[in-house]
Amino acid sequence: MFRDITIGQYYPADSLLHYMDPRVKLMGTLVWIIALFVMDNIPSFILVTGFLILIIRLSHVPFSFMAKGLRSIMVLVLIAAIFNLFFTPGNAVFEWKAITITDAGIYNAVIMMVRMFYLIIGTSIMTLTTTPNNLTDGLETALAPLSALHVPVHEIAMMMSIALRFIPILIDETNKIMKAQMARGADFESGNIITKAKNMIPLLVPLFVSAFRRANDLALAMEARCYSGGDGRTKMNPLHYTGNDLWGYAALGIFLAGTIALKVLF
Amino acid sequence: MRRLHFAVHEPLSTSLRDTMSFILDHLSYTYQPGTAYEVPALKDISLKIDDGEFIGLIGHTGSGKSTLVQHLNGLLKGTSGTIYYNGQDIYDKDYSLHDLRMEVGMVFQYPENQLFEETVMKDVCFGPKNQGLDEKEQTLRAYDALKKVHFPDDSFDQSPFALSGGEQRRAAIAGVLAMKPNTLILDEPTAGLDPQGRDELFGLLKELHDNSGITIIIVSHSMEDVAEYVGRILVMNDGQVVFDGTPHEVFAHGKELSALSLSVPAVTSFTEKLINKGFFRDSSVSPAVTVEEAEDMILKALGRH
Repeated sequence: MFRDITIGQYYPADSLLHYMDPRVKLMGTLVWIIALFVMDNIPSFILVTGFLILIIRLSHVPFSFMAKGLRSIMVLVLIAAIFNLFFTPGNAVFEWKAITITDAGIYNAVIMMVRMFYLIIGTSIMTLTTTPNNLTDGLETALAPLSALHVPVHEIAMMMSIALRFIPILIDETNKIMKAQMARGADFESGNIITKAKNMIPLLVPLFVSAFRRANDLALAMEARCYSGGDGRTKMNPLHYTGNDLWGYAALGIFLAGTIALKVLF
Repeated sequence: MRRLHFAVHEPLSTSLRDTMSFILDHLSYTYQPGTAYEVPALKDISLKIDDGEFIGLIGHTGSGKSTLVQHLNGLLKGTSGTIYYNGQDIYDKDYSLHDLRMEVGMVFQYPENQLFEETVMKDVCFGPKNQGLDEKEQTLRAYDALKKVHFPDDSFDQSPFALSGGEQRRAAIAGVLAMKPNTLILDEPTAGLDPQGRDELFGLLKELHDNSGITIIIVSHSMEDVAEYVGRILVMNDGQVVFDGTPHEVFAHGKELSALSLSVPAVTSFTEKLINKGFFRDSSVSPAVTVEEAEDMILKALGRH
Protein backbone atom coordinates (compact mmCIF):
# COMPACT_ATOMS: atom_id res chain seq x y z
CA MET A 1 0.00 0.00 0.00
CA PHE A 2 2.98 2.31 0.45
CA ARG A 3 4.68 1.28 -2.75
CA ASP A 4 2.94 3.96 -4.81
CA ILE A 5 4.25 6.88 -2.80
CA THR A 6 7.24 8.12 -4.76
CA ILE A 7 7.27 11.68 -3.39
CA GLY A 8 10.40 12.09 -1.32
CA GLN A 9 11.85 8.77 -2.43
CA TYR A 10 15.41 8.32 -3.70
CA TYR A 11 16.00 6.51 -6.98
CA PRO A 12 19.55 5.19 -7.32
CA ALA A 13 21.03 5.79 -10.77
CA ASP A 14 24.24 6.93 -12.37
CA SER A 15 23.63 10.40 -13.77
CA LEU A 16 24.93 13.94 -13.90
CA LEU A 17 22.14 15.07 -11.55
CA HIS A 18 22.88 12.34 -9.02
CA TYR A 19 26.46 13.56 -8.66
CA MET A 20 25.57 17.23 -8.53
CA ASP A 21 26.07 19.16 -5.30
CA PRO A 22 22.80 19.19 -3.30
CA ARG A 23 23.06 22.97 -2.88
CA VAL A 24 22.81 23.41 -6.64
CA LYS A 25 19.74 21.19 -6.68
CA LEU A 26 18.13 23.10 -3.82
CA MET A 27 18.79 26.37 -5.62
CA GLY A 28 17.48 24.75 -8.80
CA THR A 29 14.23 23.85 -7.06
CA LEU A 30 13.84 27.42 -5.88
CA VAL A 31 14.53 28.75 -9.39
CA TRP A 32 12.08 26.19 -10.79
CA ILE A 33 9.28 27.39 -8.48
CA ILE A 34 9.95 31.04 -9.36
CA ALA A 35 10.00 30.20 -13.08
CA LEU A 36 6.66 28.39 -12.79
CA PHE A 37 5.05 31.48 -11.35
CA VAL A 38 6.70 33.79 -13.86
CA MET A 39 5.54 31.63 -16.78
CA ASP A 40 2.25 32.93 -18.14
CA ASN A 41 2.39 32.77 -21.95
CA ILE A 42 3.11 30.23 -24.68
CA PRO A 43 6.81 31.10 -25.33
CA SER A 44 7.73 30.90 -21.65
CA PHE A 45 5.71 27.69 -21.33
CA ILE A 46 7.74 26.17 -24.17
CA LEU A 47 11.01 27.18 -22.51
CA VAL A 48 9.95 25.78 -19.12
CA THR A 49 8.73 22.53 -20.68
CA GLY A 50 11.94 22.18 -22.66
CA PHE A 51 13.98 22.69 -19.50
CA LEU A 52 11.88 20.07 -17.65
CA ILE A 53 12.33 17.50 -20.43
CA LEU A 54 16.09 18.17 -20.42
CA ILE A 55 16.26 17.67 -16.64
CA ILE A 56 14.20 14.46 -16.79
CA ARG A 57 16.52 13.09 -19.47
CA LEU A 58 19.59 14.09 -17.45
CA SER A 59 18.28 12.41 -14.28
CA HIS A 60 18.17 8.88 -15.78
CA VAL A 61 15.07 8.22 -13.66
CA PRO A 62 12.33 6.53 -15.72
CA PHE A 63 9.43 8.94 -16.27
CA SER A 64 6.94 6.19 -15.38
CA PHE A 65 8.42 6.17 -11.87
CA MET A 66 7.77 9.91 -11.46
CA ALA A 67 4.31 9.60 -12.98
CA LYS A 68 3.37 7.17 -10.20
CA GLY A 69 3.82 10.04 -7.74
CA LEU A 70 1.49 12.21 -9.83
CA ARG A 71 -1.33 9.74 -9.56
CA SER A 72 -1.79 10.43 -5.84
CA ILE A 73 -2.33 14.18 -6.37
CA MET A 74 -4.42 13.83 -9.54
CA VAL A 75 -7.71 14.23 -7.64
CA LEU A 76 -6.54 17.34 -5.83
CA VAL A 77 -5.40 18.98 -9.06
CA LEU A 78 -8.65 18.09 -10.86
CA ILE A 79 -10.82 19.56 -8.11
CA ALA A 80 -8.78 22.78 -8.14
CA ALA A 81 -9.00 22.92 -11.93
CA ILE A 82 -12.80 22.46 -11.91
CA PHE A 83 -13.24 25.28 -9.39
CA ASN A 84 -11.10 27.55 -11.54
CA LEU A 85 -12.98 26.54 -14.66
CA PHE A 86 -16.48 27.31 -13.37
CA PHE A 87 -16.00 30.15 -10.93
CA THR A 88 -13.68 32.62 -12.66
CA PRO A 89 -15.39 35.79 -13.90
CA GLY A 90 -14.64 36.97 -17.46
CA ASN A 91 -16.05 36.75 -20.98
CA ALA A 92 -18.43 33.81 -21.22
CA VAL A 93 -17.57 31.35 -23.98
CA PHE A 94 -20.05 28.65 -22.96
CA GLU A 95 -23.35 28.97 -21.12
CA TRP A 96 -25.85 26.29 -20.14
CA LYS A 97 -28.41 26.86 -17.39
CA ALA A 98 -26.44 27.86 -14.27
CA ILE A 99 -23.08 26.83 -15.67
CA THR A 100 -20.86 29.46 -17.23
CA ILE A 101 -17.37 28.88 -18.54
CA THR A 102 -15.25 31.96 -19.24
CA ASP A 103 -12.08 32.41 -21.25
CA ALA A 104 -10.24 33.49 -18.10
CA GLY A 105 -11.56 30.34 -16.37
CA ILE A 106 -10.14 28.05 -19.05
CA TYR A 107 -6.85 29.91 -18.98
CA ASN A 108 -6.65 29.74 -15.17
CA ALA A 109 -7.57 26.05 -15.00
CA VAL A 110 -5.03 25.05 -17.63
CA ILE A 111 -2.15 27.07 -16.24
CA MET A 112 -2.93 25.94 -12.70
CA MET A 113 -2.87 22.28 -13.71
CA VAL A 114 0.38 22.70 -15.60
CA ARG A 115 1.94 24.54 -12.66
CA MET A 116 0.90 21.89 -10.14
CA PHE A 117 2.13 18.97 -12.23
CA TYR A 118 5.39 20.69 -13.11
CA LEU A 119 5.89 21.64 -9.48
CA ILE A 120 5.49 18.05 -8.29
CA ILE A 121 7.67 16.62 -11.05
CA GLY A 122 10.38 19.25 -10.57
CA THR A 123 10.61 18.88 -6.82
CA SER A 124 10.44 15.11 -6.95
CA ILE A 125 13.38 15.09 -9.37
CA MET A 126 15.39 16.74 -6.61
CA THR A 127 14.48 14.07 -4.04
CA LEU A 128 14.74 11.25 -6.58
CA THR A 129 18.34 12.18 -7.41
CA THR A 130 19.54 13.18 -3.93
CA THR A 131 19.93 10.86 -0.96
CA PRO A 132 18.20 12.18 2.18
CA ASN A 133 21.55 12.57 3.92
CA ASN A 134 22.95 14.58 1.08
CA LEU A 135 19.85 16.72 1.02
CA THR A 136 20.02 17.67 4.69
CA ASP A 137 23.77 18.26 4.35
CA GLY A 138 23.07 20.65 1.53
CA LEU A 139 20.33 22.37 3.50
CA GLU A 140 22.58 22.74 6.53
CA THR A 141 25.43 24.30 4.56
CA ALA A 142 23.13 26.49 2.50
CA LEU A 143 21.37 27.83 5.60
CA ALA A 144 24.53 28.11 7.73
CA PRO A 145 24.58 31.94 7.55
CA LEU A 146 21.25 31.96 9.44
CA SER A 147 22.93 30.63 12.58
CA ALA A 148 24.28 34.16 13.08
CA LEU A 149 20.63 35.07 13.73
CA HIS A 150 20.43 32.29 16.34
CA VAL A 151 18.47 29.98 14.08
CA PRO A 152 19.38 26.43 15.21
CA VAL A 153 20.36 25.35 11.70
CA HIS A 154 22.32 22.28 12.70
CA GLU A 155 19.58 21.02 15.01
CA ILE A 156 16.94 21.51 12.33
CA ALA A 157 19.08 19.64 9.80
CA MET A 158 19.72 16.84 12.30
CA MET A 159 16.02 16.49 13.07
CA MET A 160 15.26 16.44 9.37
CA SER A 161 17.79 13.74 8.63
CA ILE A 162 16.55 11.63 11.55
CA ALA A 163 12.96 12.05 10.42
CA LEU A 164 13.85 11.13 6.84
CA ARG A 165 15.95 8.22 8.00
CA PHE A 166 13.03 6.82 9.96
CA ILE A 167 10.43 7.01 7.22
CA PRO A 168 11.45 3.74 5.52
CA ILE A 169 11.96 2.06 8.90
CA LEU A 170 8.50 3.01 10.07
CA ILE A 171 6.93 2.02 6.75
CA ASP A 172 8.64 -1.34 7.12
CA GLU A 173 7.42 -1.64 10.67
CA THR A 174 3.88 -0.70 9.63
CA ASN A 175 3.90 -3.39 6.96
CA LYS A 176 5.16 -5.97 9.43
CA ILE A 177 2.59 -5.16 12.11
CA MET A 178 -0.16 -5.03 9.51
CA LYS A 179 0.76 -8.47 8.28
CA ALA A 180 0.96 -9.81 11.82
CA GLN A 181 -2.51 -8.48 12.62
CA MET A 182 -3.91 -9.64 9.28
CA ALA A 183 -2.59 -13.09 10.15
CA ARG A 184 -4.80 -12.83 13.24
CA GLY A 185 -7.77 -11.97 11.06
CA ALA A 186 -7.63 -8.16 11.27
CA ASP A 187 -9.35 -6.35 8.43
CA PHE A 188 -7.96 -2.97 7.36
CA GLU A 189 -9.92 -2.53 4.16
CA SER A 190 -13.66 -2.99 4.55
CA GLY A 191 -16.26 -1.13 6.60
CA ASN A 192 -17.23 2.52 6.87
CA ILE A 193 -14.94 5.27 8.10
CA ILE A 194 -15.67 4.68 11.79
CA THR A 195 -15.08 0.92 11.72
CA LYS A 196 -12.03 1.52 9.57
CA ALA A 197 -10.63 3.95 12.14
CA LYS A 198 -11.40 1.50 14.93
CA ASN A 199 -9.70 -1.30 13.03
CA MET A 200 -6.55 0.81 12.86
CA ILE A 201 -6.02 0.58 16.62
CA PRO A 202 -4.24 -2.81 16.47
CA LEU A 203 -1.88 -1.21 13.96
CA LEU A 204 -1.35 2.20 15.54
CA VAL A 205 -0.72 1.17 19.16
CA PRO A 206 2.20 -1.16 18.39
CA LEU A 207 3.52 1.35 15.85
CA PHE A 208 3.64 4.15 18.42
CA VAL A 209 5.17 1.86 21.00
CA SER A 210 7.92 0.89 18.60
CA ALA A 211 8.50 4.48 17.42
CA PHE A 212 8.99 5.65 21.00
CA ARG A 213 11.27 2.72 21.75
CA ARG A 214 13.35 3.50 18.69
CA ALA A 215 13.57 7.18 19.59
CA ASN A 216 14.73 6.22 23.05
CA ASP A 217 17.37 3.84 21.72
CA LEU A 218 18.60 6.41 19.25
CA ALA A 219 18.93 9.10 21.94
CA LEU A 220 20.95 6.68 24.07
CA ALA A 221 23.16 5.68 21.17
CA MET A 222 23.81 9.33 20.30
CA GLU A 223 24.69 10.18 23.86
CA ALA A 224 26.95 7.15 24.12
CA ARG A 225 28.85 8.58 21.15
CA CYS A 226 29.15 11.94 22.94
CA TYR A 227 26.87 13.84 20.56
CA SER A 228 26.48 17.37 21.85
CA GLY A 229 25.09 19.40 18.98
CA GLY A 230 26.62 21.19 16.04
CA ASP A 231 29.45 23.21 17.59
CA GLY A 232 32.87 22.02 16.53
CA ARG A 233 31.39 19.11 14.60
CA THR A 234 33.14 18.22 11.35
CA LYS A 235 31.92 16.15 8.42
CA MET A 236 33.36 12.99 6.97
CA ASN A 237 32.47 14.05 3.44
CA PRO A 238 32.24 17.85 3.37
CA LEU A 239 30.50 19.31 0.33
CA HIS A 240 32.74 20.71 -2.40
CA TYR A 241 31.70 22.41 -5.62
CA THR A 242 33.07 20.94 -8.83
CA GLY A 243 33.12 22.31 -12.38
CA ASN A 244 29.79 20.69 -13.14
CA ASP A 245 28.13 22.46 -10.23
CA LEU A 246 29.25 25.85 -11.50
CA TRP A 247 27.86 24.99 -14.94
CA GLY A 248 24.66 23.98 -13.16
CA TYR A 249 24.38 27.40 -11.50
CA ALA A 250 25.10 29.06 -14.83
CA ALA A 251 22.38 27.00 -16.55
CA LEU A 252 19.90 27.91 -13.80
CA GLY A 253 20.73 31.61 -14.16
CA ILE A 254 20.27 31.52 -17.94
CA PHE A 255 17.01 29.58 -17.57
CA LEU A 256 15.54 32.04 -15.07
CA ALA A 257 16.67 35.07 -17.09
CA GLY A 258 15.22 33.48 -20.23
CA THR A 259 11.84 32.83 -18.61
CA ILE A 260 11.61 36.39 -17.30
CA ALA A 261 12.68 37.82 -20.66
CA LEU A 262 10.01 35.79 -22.50
CA LYS A 263 7.35 36.99 -20.07
CA VAL A 264 8.36 40.63 -20.47
CA LEU A 265 8.87 40.52 -24.26
CA PHE A 266 5.64 38.75 -25.29
CA MET B 1 22.76 -33.04 -4.13
CA ARG B 2 19.14 -33.91 -3.74
CA ARG B 3 17.02 -31.42 -5.54
CA LEU B 4 13.30 -31.29 -5.93
CA HIS B 5 11.66 -32.23 -9.14
CA PHE B 6 8.12 -32.38 -7.91
CA ALA B 7 5.70 -30.44 -10.03
CA VAL B 8 2.00 -30.38 -10.63
CA HIS B 9 0.91 -30.32 -14.23
CA GLU B 10 -2.52 -31.88 -14.15
CA PRO B 11 -5.50 -31.57 -11.83
CA LEU B 12 -4.99 -33.73 -8.80
CA SER B 13 -7.14 -36.72 -8.07
CA THR B 14 -9.50 -36.30 -5.13
CA SER B 15 -7.77 -38.84 -2.95
CA LEU B 16 -4.52 -36.98 -3.34
CA ARG B 17 -6.18 -33.67 -2.50
CA ASP B 18 -7.49 -34.91 0.81
CA THR B 19 -4.14 -35.90 2.16
CA MET B 20 -2.11 -32.90 1.17
CA SER B 21 -2.23 -29.62 2.92
CA PHE B 22 0.03 -27.40 0.81
CA ILE B 23 1.19 -27.69 -2.76
CA LEU B 24 3.36 -24.96 -4.20
CA ASP B 25 3.42 -25.07 -7.96
CA HIS B 26 6.28 -23.20 -9.65
CA LEU B 27 5.94 -20.30 -7.25
CA SER B 28 8.06 -17.21 -7.89
CA TYR B 29 8.04 -13.85 -6.19
CA THR B 30 9.83 -10.62 -7.00
CA TYR B 31 9.92 -7.57 -4.74
CA GLN B 32 9.01 -4.30 -6.50
CA PRO B 33 9.15 -5.65 -10.05
CA GLY B 34 9.96 -3.13 -12.76
CA THR B 35 11.86 -0.67 -10.56
CA ALA B 36 15.50 -0.18 -9.63
CA TYR B 37 14.69 -1.91 -6.33
CA GLU B 38 13.60 -5.13 -8.04
CA VAL B 39 14.76 -8.20 -6.11
CA PRO B 40 13.82 -11.76 -7.02
CA ALA B 41 13.09 -13.43 -3.68
CA LEU B 42 11.63 -16.79 -4.72
CA LYS B 43 12.58 -18.60 -7.89
CA ASP B 44 10.29 -21.28 -9.25
CA ILE B 45 9.59 -23.21 -6.06
CA SER B 46 7.63 -26.45 -6.25
CA LEU B 47 6.97 -28.21 -3.01
CA LYS B 48 4.40 -30.17 -1.10
CA ILE B 49 3.76 -30.15 2.59
CA ASP B 50 1.61 -32.88 4.09
CA ASP B 51 -0.81 -32.63 6.97
CA GLY B 52 0.82 -33.07 10.36
CA GLU B 53 4.41 -32.57 9.27
CA PHE B 54 6.95 -30.87 11.52
CA ILE B 55 9.23 -28.89 9.25
CA GLY B 56 12.32 -26.78 9.77
CA LEU B 57 12.88 -24.20 7.04
CA ILE B 58 16.54 -23.24 7.14
CA GLY B 59 18.54 -20.65 5.27
CA HIS B 60 20.78 -17.71 5.95
CA THR B 61 19.56 -14.10 5.96
CA GLY B 62 18.06 -13.13 2.63
CA SER B 63 17.61 -16.66 1.33
CA GLY B 64 13.86 -16.13 0.95
CA LYS B 65 12.60 -18.25 3.82
CA SER B 66 10.48 -15.54 5.45
CA THR B 67 9.11 -14.57 2.04
CA LEU B 68 8.17 -18.17 1.35
CA VAL B 69 6.16 -18.67 4.53
CA GLN B 70 4.29 -15.41 4.01
CA HIS B 71 2.87 -16.95 0.85
CA LEU B 72 1.41 -19.87 2.77
CA ASN B 73 -1.29 -17.74 4.35
CA GLY B 74 -1.68 -15.38 1.43
CA LEU B 75 0.00 -12.32 2.95
CA LEU B 76 2.16 -12.16 -0.15
CA LYS B 77 0.93 -13.17 -3.57
CA GLY B 78 3.32 -14.93 -5.92
CA THR B 79 4.39 -13.05 -9.06
CA SER B 80 3.87 -16.31 -10.94
CA GLY B 81 2.90 -19.86 -10.04
CA THR B 82 0.24 -20.83 -7.55
CA ILE B 83 -0.46 -22.49 -4.20
CA TYR B 84 -3.04 -25.14 -3.43
CA TYR B 85 -4.30 -25.51 0.11
CA ASN B 86 -6.23 -28.74 0.64
CA GLY B 87 -6.66 -28.98 -3.11
CA GLN B 88 -7.97 -25.45 -3.63
CA ASP B 89 -6.13 -22.75 -5.51
CA ILE B 90 -5.70 -19.92 -2.99
CA TYR B 91 -5.28 -17.38 -5.81
CA ASP B 92 -8.77 -18.17 -7.08
CA LYS B 93 -11.04 -15.12 -7.13
CA ASP B 94 -13.64 -16.82 -4.93
CA TYR B 95 -11.12 -18.12 -2.43
CA SER B 96 -11.32 -16.34 0.92
CA LEU B 97 -7.85 -15.47 2.19
CA HIS B 98 -9.47 -14.42 5.46
CA ASP B 99 -10.61 -18.01 6.01
CA LEU B 100 -7.20 -19.32 5.01
CA ARG B 101 -5.55 -17.09 7.62
CA MET B 102 -7.91 -18.48 10.22
CA GLU B 103 -6.56 -21.96 9.52
CA VAL B 104 -2.92 -21.13 8.92
CA GLY B 105 -1.59 -19.38 12.01
CA MET B 106 1.50 -17.27 11.61
CA VAL B 107 3.83 -16.14 14.37
CA PHE B 108 6.08 -13.41 13.01
CA GLN B 109 9.60 -12.57 14.06
CA TYR B 110 9.49 -10.71 17.38
CA PRO B 111 5.73 -11.32 17.70
CA GLU B 112 5.64 -9.29 20.94
CA ASN B 113 5.72 -6.18 18.72
CA GLN B 114 2.13 -6.83 17.70
CA LEU B 115 0.63 -6.65 21.21
CA PHE B 116 -1.76 -3.72 21.51
CA GLU B 117 -4.63 -4.35 23.94
CA GLU B 118 -5.02 -3.14 27.52
CA THR B 119 -4.72 -6.62 28.98
CA VAL B 120 -3.06 -9.83 27.89
CA MET B 121 -6.42 -11.61 27.94
CA LYS B 122 -8.01 -9.08 25.57
CA ASP B 123 -5.04 -9.27 23.25
CA VAL B 124 -5.20 -13.04 23.00
CA CYS B 125 -8.95 -12.72 22.33
CA PHE B 126 -8.27 -10.57 19.25
CA GLY B 127 -7.82 -13.53 16.89
CA PRO B 128 -10.86 -15.51 18.11
CA LYS B 129 -12.92 -12.29 17.97
CA ASN B 130 -12.02 -11.87 14.31
CA GLN B 131 -13.12 -15.46 13.77
CA GLY B 132 -16.59 -14.34 14.82
CA LEU B 133 -16.78 -16.42 17.99
CA ASP B 134 -18.99 -15.29 20.88
CA GLU B 135 -17.44 -13.73 23.95
CA LYS B 136 -17.62 -16.85 26.08
CA GLU B 137 -15.88 -18.95 23.45
CA GLN B 138 -13.27 -16.22 22.92
CA THR B 139 -12.36 -16.18 26.60
CA LEU B 140 -12.31 -19.95 26.73
CA ARG B 141 -9.97 -20.16 23.77
CA ALA B 142 -7.73 -17.43 25.16
CA TYR B 143 -7.56 -19.08 28.56
CA ASP B 144 -6.74 -22.40 26.94
CA ALA B 145 -4.00 -20.90 24.76
CA LEU B 146 -2.41 -18.97 27.61
CA LYS B 147 -2.39 -22.15 29.69
CA LYS B 148 -0.76 -24.04 26.82
CA VAL B 149 2.15 -21.61 26.66
CA HIS B 150 2.52 -21.79 30.46
CA PHE B 151 1.70 -18.14 30.91
CA PRO B 152 1.53 -17.21 34.63
CA ASP B 153 -2.12 -17.08 35.82
CA ASP B 154 -1.80 -13.90 37.84
CA SER B 155 -0.66 -11.89 34.79
CA PHE B 156 -3.73 -12.59 32.61
CA ASP B 157 -5.20 -9.18 33.33
CA GLN B 158 -1.97 -7.21 33.22
CA SER B 159 -1.03 -4.79 30.48
CA PRO B 160 1.08 -6.67 27.90
CA PHE B 161 3.54 -3.76 27.97
CA ALA B 162 4.33 -4.38 31.66
CA LEU B 163 5.56 -7.93 31.03
CA SER B 164 9.09 -9.21 30.59
CA GLY B 165 10.30 -9.99 27.07
CA GLY B 166 9.86 -13.75 27.47
CA GLU B 167 6.33 -13.37 28.81
CA GLN B 168 5.42 -10.99 26.00
CA ARG B 169 6.62 -13.56 23.49
CA ARG B 170 4.45 -16.24 25.09
CA ALA B 171 1.42 -13.98 25.17
CA ALA B 172 1.91 -13.19 21.48
CA ILE B 173 2.23 -16.87 20.56
CA ALA B 174 -0.90 -17.61 22.60
CA GLY B 175 -2.63 -14.94 20.51
CA VAL B 176 -2.10 -17.10 17.44
CA LEU B 177 -2.73 -20.44 19.16
CA ALA B 178 -6.10 -19.20 20.42
CA MET B 179 -7.32 -19.30 16.83
CA LYS B 180 -6.77 -23.07 16.84
CA PRO B 181 -4.95 -23.15 13.50
CA ASN B 182 -4.43 -26.38 11.53
CA THR B 183 -1.02 -25.17 10.49
CA LEU B 184 1.29 -23.11 12.63
CA ILE B 185 4.14 -21.18 11.05
CA LEU B 186 6.76 -19.57 13.26
CA ASP B 187 9.35 -17.17 11.85
CA GLU B 188 12.51 -17.27 13.97
CA PRO B 189 10.50 -17.87 17.13
CA THR B 190 13.54 -18.14 19.38
CA ALA B 191 15.30 -14.93 18.30
CA GLY B 192 16.28 -13.03 21.44
CA LEU B 193 15.31 -15.83 23.85
CA ASP B 194 17.79 -17.34 26.30
CA PRO B 195 18.70 -21.05 25.95
CA GLN B 196 16.14 -22.07 28.55
CA GLY B 197 13.40 -20.06 26.87
CA ARG B 198 14.35 -21.66 23.56
CA ASP B 199 14.14 -25.21 24.90
CA GLU B 200 10.83 -24.44 26.56
CA LEU B 201 9.38 -23.05 23.36
CA PHE B 202 10.51 -25.98 21.24
CA GLY B 203 9.25 -28.41 23.85
CA LEU B 204 5.90 -26.66 23.71
CA LEU B 205 5.78 -26.86 19.91
CA LYS B 206 6.62 -30.55 19.99
CA GLU B 207 3.84 -31.09 22.51
CA LEU B 208 1.41 -29.24 20.26
CA HIS B 209 2.46 -31.24 17.25
CA ASP B 210 2.28 -34.60 19.00
CA ASN B 211 -0.99 -33.96 20.85
CA SER B 212 -3.05 -31.94 18.38
CA GLY B 213 -1.47 -33.26 15.19
CA ILE B 214 -1.16 -29.81 13.60
CA THR B 215 1.36 -29.02 10.91
CA ILE B 216 4.23 -26.93 12.22
CA ILE B 217 6.76 -25.03 10.14
CA ILE B 218 9.65 -23.36 11.94
CA VAL B 219 11.77 -20.84 10.08
CA SER B 220 15.29 -20.60 11.42
CA HIS B 221 18.84 -19.90 10.37
CA SER B 222 20.20 -22.47 12.76
CA MET B 223 20.27 -26.21 12.08
CA GLU B 224 21.30 -26.80 15.66
CA ASP B 225 18.02 -25.36 16.93
CA VAL B 226 15.61 -27.43 14.91
CA ALA B 227 17.50 -30.68 14.29
CA GLU B 228 16.28 -32.31 17.45
CA TYR B 229 12.60 -31.65 16.90
CA VAL B 230 11.65 -31.59 13.24
CA GLY B 231 10.96 -34.53 10.95
CA ARG B 232 11.85 -32.76 7.75
CA ILE B 233 14.28 -30.02 6.84
CA LEU B 234 14.03 -27.68 3.88
CA VAL B 235 17.18 -25.72 3.12
CA MET B 236 16.80 -22.52 1.13
CA ASN B 237 19.45 -20.57 -0.68
CA ASP B 238 19.05 -17.62 -3.02
CA GLY B 239 15.30 -18.07 -3.39
CA GLN B 240 15.41 -21.79 -4.11
CA VAL B 241 14.93 -24.94 -2.07
CA VAL B 242 18.27 -26.75 -2.36
CA PHE B 243 17.82 -29.61 0.11
CA ASP B 244 14.70 -31.38 1.25
CA GLY B 245 14.72 -34.42 3.49
CA THR B 246 14.96 -35.79 7.02
CA PRO B 247 17.64 -34.24 9.26
CA HIS B 248 19.82 -37.33 8.64
CA GLU B 249 19.55 -37.00 4.88
CA VAL B 250 20.20 -33.28 4.85
CA PHE B 251 23.08 -33.34 7.32
CA ALA B 252 24.87 -35.91 5.22
CA HIS B 253 25.73 -32.95 2.97
CA GLY B 254 27.88 -31.14 5.52
CA LYS B 255 30.29 -29.73 2.97
CA GLU B 256 27.66 -28.35 0.62
CA LEU B 257 25.85 -26.84 3.58
CA SER B 258 28.91 -25.04 4.85
CA ALA B 259 29.38 -23.69 1.33
CA LEU B 260 25.98 -22.03 1.87
CA SER B 261 27.37 -20.67 5.16
CA LEU B 262 25.11 -23.00 7.14
CA SER B 263 26.64 -25.37 9.59
CA VAL B 264 25.41 -28.79 10.67
CA PRO B 265 24.90 -29.25 14.43
CA ALA B 266 28.14 -29.59 16.40
CA VAL B 267 27.19 -33.13 17.44
CA THR B 268 26.78 -34.12 13.78
CA SER B 269 30.20 -32.90 12.73
CA PHE B 270 31.70 -34.47 15.86
CA THR B 271 30.31 -37.95 15.14
CA GLU B 272 31.24 -37.54 11.48
CA LYS B 273 34.84 -36.95 12.51
CA LEU B 274 34.72 -40.05 14.74
CA ILE B 275 33.41 -42.09 11.80
CA ASN B 276 36.17 -40.80 9.52
CA LYS B 277 38.81 -41.67 12.12
CA GLY B 278 37.45 -45.22 12.24
CA PHE B 279 36.13 -45.06 15.78
CA PHE B 280 33.10 -47.19 14.95
CA ARG B 281 33.75 -50.75 13.85
CA ASP B 282 30.28 -50.84 12.31
CA SER B 283 30.88 -49.06 9.00
CA SER B 284 27.18 -48.51 8.27
CA VAL B 285 26.68 -45.84 10.95
CA SER B 286 25.75 -42.33 9.87
CA PRO B 287 26.48 -39.12 11.78
CA ALA B 288 24.15 -38.42 14.71
CA VAL B 289 21.65 -35.59 14.69
CA THR B 290 20.87 -35.30 18.39
CA VAL B 291 23.01 -35.61 21.49
CA GLU B 292 21.03 -38.69 22.63
CA GLU B 293 21.74 -40.42 19.34
CA ALA B 294 25.45 -39.69 19.62
CA GLU B 295 25.46 -40.97 23.19
CA ASP B 296 23.85 -44.24 22.08
CA MET B 297 26.28 -44.65 19.21
CA ILE B 298 29.36 -44.07 21.32
CA LEU B 299 28.22 -46.23 24.23
CA LYS B 300 27.42 -49.02 21.79
CA ALA B 301 30.87 -48.73 20.20
CA LEU B 302 32.45 -48.86 23.64
CA GLY B 303 30.45 -51.99 24.40
CA ARG B 304 28.58 -50.51 27.36
CA HIS B 305 25.07 -50.74 26.04
